[in-house]
Amino acid sequence: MSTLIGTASDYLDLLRQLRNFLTTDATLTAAGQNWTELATNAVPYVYNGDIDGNPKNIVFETYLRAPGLSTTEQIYIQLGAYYAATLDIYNWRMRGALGYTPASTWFQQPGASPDNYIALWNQPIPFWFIANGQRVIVVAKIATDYEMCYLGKFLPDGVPGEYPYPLFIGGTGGPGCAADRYSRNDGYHAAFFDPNANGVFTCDASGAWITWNHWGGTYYNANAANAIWPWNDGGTSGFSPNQGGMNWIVQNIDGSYPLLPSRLEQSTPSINILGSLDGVFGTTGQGSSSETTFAVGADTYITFQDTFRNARNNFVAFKLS
Amino acid sequence: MYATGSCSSPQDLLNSLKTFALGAGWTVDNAGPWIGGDYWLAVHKGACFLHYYATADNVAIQLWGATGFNGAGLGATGGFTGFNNSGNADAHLQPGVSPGFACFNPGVGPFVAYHFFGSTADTYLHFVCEVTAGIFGHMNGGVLLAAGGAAPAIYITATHWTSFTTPVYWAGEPENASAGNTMAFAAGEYNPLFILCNVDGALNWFTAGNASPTRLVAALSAPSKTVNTFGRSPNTFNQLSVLIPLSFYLERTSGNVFSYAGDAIDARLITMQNYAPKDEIPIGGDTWKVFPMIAKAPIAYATSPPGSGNYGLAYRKNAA
Repeated sequence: MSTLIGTASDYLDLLRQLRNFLTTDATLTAAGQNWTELATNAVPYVYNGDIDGNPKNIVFETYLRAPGLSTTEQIYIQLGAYYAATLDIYNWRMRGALGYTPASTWFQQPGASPDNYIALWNQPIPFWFIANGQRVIVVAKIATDYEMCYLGKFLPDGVPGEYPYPLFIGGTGGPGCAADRYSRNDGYHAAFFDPNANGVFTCDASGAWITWNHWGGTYYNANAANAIWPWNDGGTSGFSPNQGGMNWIVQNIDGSYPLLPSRLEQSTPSINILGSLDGVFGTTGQGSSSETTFAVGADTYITFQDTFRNARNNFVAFKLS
Repeated sequence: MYATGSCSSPQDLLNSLKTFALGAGWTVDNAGPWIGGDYWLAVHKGACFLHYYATADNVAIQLWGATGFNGAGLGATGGFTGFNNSGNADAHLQPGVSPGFACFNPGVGPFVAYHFFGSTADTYLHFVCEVTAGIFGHMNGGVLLAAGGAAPAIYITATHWTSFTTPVYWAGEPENASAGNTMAFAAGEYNPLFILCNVDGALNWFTAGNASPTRLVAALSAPSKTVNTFGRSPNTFNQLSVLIPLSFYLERTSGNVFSYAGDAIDARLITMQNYAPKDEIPIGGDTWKVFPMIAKAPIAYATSPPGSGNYGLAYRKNAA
């Protein structure tokens, strides 16, 4: 695993630096886990097929293949940058796919997921890249927001013969959020670990894409939703009959921070505990803040809040290299 | 470590447990008859003291947790030489003793079998008793795999059922037990789980039924962080049940907020849907043995024998 922390000049430069990191980083390369850029498309075009109806100027697309931890796998990720100047939107869109065919467009790649989005801007962006051969986590600081995405495989509760392609594609906005600005501050703008309405995707054992939701509360009933533990299960007012949630979890007894695995708990269309996101942990924001690092044994972790949210139940910890 | 065998009574069960505990590195502080034919097994390992007490009428085995052993009143050969408490044993008067006991009430026996799980490396004694064919009870004590400075993190828990035989009793759900039926590692009417921990400078026994701020959140209780997890297994894609950690959270002095204290070692929550009682699950080099909370039977009112649906516990059989 490797980490790069830096600052990009804008959303396009962020994508350029990510491509360079994934394909040439010395640590990834030494482990045989550097990614391959299969193709790019730098020819701008206008797309107005999103359900919001607003035309987007697609300015760059890249098709990446990750080798997995085994270095022999083929994990397909699509990343594109677009803008809509009149809306002050400068975002990425992202997809997973089952393969790559050179003659096909962004929309025609084999077994591709729906679009997922991360809201950025055209100003300097402090960033954190955390990658290995099977997934990358990107965190981008936009003003006081923390935008983030997880692209790649998670750790499945099954062997490859049972679940060959456990892919997770998640940013901070799902279908319908293409025209969302980073400043949106409602339930449809949320980090991948506690996603918005049907806001992230996993590829199931049959190659179909499954959607995932927020914790319970106004929008969804956690008992019937595909949701990510430990942030799922609602809970809105401290310790109460509301089940679970992170809102009543604070620091450990000795003041250290809990690290709870991020478990993908699926209810529909069938029940599954699919597995855990690689290097992603539930923690508390009590007494903490974004960008705080702490050590557990020989490992270092960094915490971030969920986009604009900074209550104690809105935090995640990522394992750094 | 694992051992199995048959037993004729609760006292016989504890006598076998004594032998197993010695092999798992526990020290036996007392093992012998007590007043009126009761039986008291006191063992410890490190700072974890467990006191098993089988009442003379063979109605129940009590498990008390403690921080020490006081042998005053014991004769040179062990056993009772002095009586001082209106028919109750001294197990409940031990140093740092739990305010209540975990209760397993299997009846007089004989029982089909016991299954003991332990480890020389870690501090726990877990046992499952097959009371009658297909009906089980659990009694577990030890020290958690502590998180974030939780200490001494001693726990006691057991299955308590209004009757292990009468065909009228049920538990609608383990996290909300009714009719006196509670599952091990759950919370409920009979507080079947106690954890001793020093939190914010005060050493307390935490249990779900306590007043704030000495409550706990168990693996199976309302609220719990794994209640919904259980319902999402077994996996559809491979028909296997995921072994769900038994994690516990303790309340802070400020009240209404909790800290993660750790997990039970070599024990997991599991759905029995695709397993029969006593099945063994190999995972890598490990073998896990699964048991229903009481019986793999539909949870229903009145006309059914004791049943706990698909709720079960898995124990690691090959712990060193």
